[in-house]
Amino acid sequence: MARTSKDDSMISDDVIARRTRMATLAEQGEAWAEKKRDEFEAMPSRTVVLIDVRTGQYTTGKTWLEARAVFDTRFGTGIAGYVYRVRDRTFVGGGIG
Amino acid sequence: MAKVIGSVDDLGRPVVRVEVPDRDGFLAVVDTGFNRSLLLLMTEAQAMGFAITEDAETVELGTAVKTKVLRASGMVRWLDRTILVEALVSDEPMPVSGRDTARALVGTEMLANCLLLVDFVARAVEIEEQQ
Repeated sequence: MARTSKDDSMISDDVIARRTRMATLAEQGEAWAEKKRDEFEAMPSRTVVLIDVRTGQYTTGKTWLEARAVFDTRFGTGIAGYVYRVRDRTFVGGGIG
Repeated sequence: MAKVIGSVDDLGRPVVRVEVPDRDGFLAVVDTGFNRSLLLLMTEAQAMGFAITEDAETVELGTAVKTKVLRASGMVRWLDRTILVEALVSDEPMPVSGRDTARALVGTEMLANCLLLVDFVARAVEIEEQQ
């Protein structure tokens, strides 16, 4: 079944489910990042940390692909992670602040 | 020197075509306020054969609003080379617009070691690799 959003674009139940999963993952990931802030802040700037939100375990790399490759080996494939960046932020269309 | 040539579109955006091996490729806005490689809509990423994961990342928009995107990777032709590139994937619905319009962003990571020239008078865009 499809639903209609405010701008009349059709949004499927799959998309709604995916967005819900993404929001939950991000919330859990941010909670882990907060808990491990001191540990992460000791890492070199711009390190990419990929967090397994079920356990708080993580892998690191210079890029997300590097961190993901180690993550797959260590925790298994198909497990979603949350991307945290050490003293770095991702801007789209310019950033303020 | 390897180059990517583009244009300034009718909406005033610097746009280039990103070639994808064995696909049509896609048009992308060169966004110097975007500090990663590529941002694609989900439908476009799927059409381009990108491997889309459920890894999530928080990004900050120009309005300072934070939103979540997924992570993906795929092959593109860029500056005469075929490279594996990381992409951010937005789950927003496809905007209602013509087929041949830009629905992706190229960010500053794709411009590393490059000279970017945007001539708004001549409506020309040039990305040239530097030594």
